[in-house]
Amino acid sequence: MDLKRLTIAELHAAYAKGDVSVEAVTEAYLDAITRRDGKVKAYLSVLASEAITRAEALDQRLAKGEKPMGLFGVPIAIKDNLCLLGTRTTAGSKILENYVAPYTATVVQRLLDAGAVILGKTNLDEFAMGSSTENSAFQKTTNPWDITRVPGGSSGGSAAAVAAEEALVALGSDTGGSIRQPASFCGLVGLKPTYGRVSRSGVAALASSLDQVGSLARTVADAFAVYQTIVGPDAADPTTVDAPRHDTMSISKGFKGLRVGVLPGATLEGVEAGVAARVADAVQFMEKAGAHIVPLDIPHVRLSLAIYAVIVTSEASSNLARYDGLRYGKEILPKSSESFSTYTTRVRSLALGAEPQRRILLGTYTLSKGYADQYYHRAHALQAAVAWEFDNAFKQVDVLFGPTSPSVAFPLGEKFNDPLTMYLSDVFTVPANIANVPALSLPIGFSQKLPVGGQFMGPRFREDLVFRAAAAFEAESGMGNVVAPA
Amino acid sequence: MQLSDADIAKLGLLGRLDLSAEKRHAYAEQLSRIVAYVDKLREADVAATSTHLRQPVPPTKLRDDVPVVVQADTVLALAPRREGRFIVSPPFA
Repeated sequence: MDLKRLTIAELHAAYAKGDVSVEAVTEAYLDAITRRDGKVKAYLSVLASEAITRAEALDQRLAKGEKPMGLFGVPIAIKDNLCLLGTRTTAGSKILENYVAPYTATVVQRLLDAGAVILGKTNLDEFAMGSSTENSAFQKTTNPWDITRVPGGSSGGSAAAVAAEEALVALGSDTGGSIRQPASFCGLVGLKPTYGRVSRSGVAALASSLDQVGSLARTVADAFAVYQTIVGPDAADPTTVDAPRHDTMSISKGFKGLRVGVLPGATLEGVEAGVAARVADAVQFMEKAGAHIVPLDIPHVRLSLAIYAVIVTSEASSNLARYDGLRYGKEILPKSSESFSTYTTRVRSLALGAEPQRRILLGTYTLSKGYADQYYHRAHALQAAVAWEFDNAFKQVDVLFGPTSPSVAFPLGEKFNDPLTMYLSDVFTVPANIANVPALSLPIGFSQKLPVGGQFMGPRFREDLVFRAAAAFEAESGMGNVVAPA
Repeated sequence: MQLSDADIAKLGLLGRLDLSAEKRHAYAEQLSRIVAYVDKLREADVAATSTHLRQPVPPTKLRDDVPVVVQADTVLALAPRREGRFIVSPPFA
């Protein structure tokens, strides 16, 4: 039995019967990290001894008769912008190279409370700014399906770890597609919940009005199990909402009677033919399975990426102002007779990478006097328009469907020096962040022997509808639990 | 809008970034392309989408103002330079 192929439900059944120990499962994943991560480079820190100690403690609980539930004994990877007490948390940046978290993020604490085994911290684009994980200050993660290609980003390390069987599931964060686009590139299920569903306390901020933590997994049920664990209000994050949650059974109702709106995204210029074909196949497949397909258009959705570029850079330039080299992070000695301003400017210039620097500059521009009305305030007005149009669309349909990304995973380096082209790879994921609706990417087929992702979006706080559609697609297409060839 | 190297230098000053001539030039070219893309926002009719489209913002729910106790040693350990129980600030001019 290959322990790494077991889903969470299968693992729990095996634990309950005594067929396997948590330690054996943890060791199987740590062994995979040892064998594969030299090429995949998914992890920035591997917490091997901590994971084994934790697994031993969980095995003792099993021996005392505890029934495995939640994420008990589930080996999980977490993105390195999530704080875990006493561990290095870099956010992929040199400026936080030596930062050791003094507390644990709420989402990570909820994993621990549910019995998860944390295997390590995964690579990401610096401060989650990017779509390929090439912006990490430390290493370039590769796509386990083809190591000459990117895993997507910014949660590329988390996605690559799960696709390479170096973790069963993972946490990522999604500001404009940073969970869904890497899920698409790596053949995984990736969920961005509604903003307010999941606490951001202990998450290194990129754009505070858009950031949201979510799950990456090889099956819809596993992504749902992680989501169920981390969801819910948190006193430490006043933007969290105590919205009604939905039962576990609702994810297995099938397509019958489900109204699926289809946006014209797949027919737009710039979408690869292979991606467009798989999306068309998926729509046909859902219709045959009983879904009611409704062609729809959301006029202002075409402005989403421009709206996003303004809001995210404005907020990022503000959030990154705290990194001054004095209070935490990398030590850079001052020169004699250097003023405070000169010193902090030098630290930021040396220790922040090109993409954070670009976003600081652009955000400073869009917030500056004379331009804030033209860009920042206008972007917010148009964001409201997009959200309103999504609300109207969801009066006609239960979920929306379209491509996750215009392409399959692209070669390393292809877009690295062309930031606008890189931003455009998020053109289909950004609208869900702008409209603040839940969205999930799942594998719908292959093109050029690489996974293609399709995306379901649902009404605000109706993750259950998104999961229902995804579970139905996975069950009827047999596309679940695919892993990259070793 | 085309951003010049001088514009980038000014934005760098505001954003506390000291950029080489080479970086200023590269950023000017890259950011000009991005600004040209986001300029499509300026063509949108915001007046037609305003007021009635704005969603009411729910009031922010604040927690009780209870101090969170963090051990001083834990915070001190984060500082790049420290001396005893003090964070060492560089001797700025």
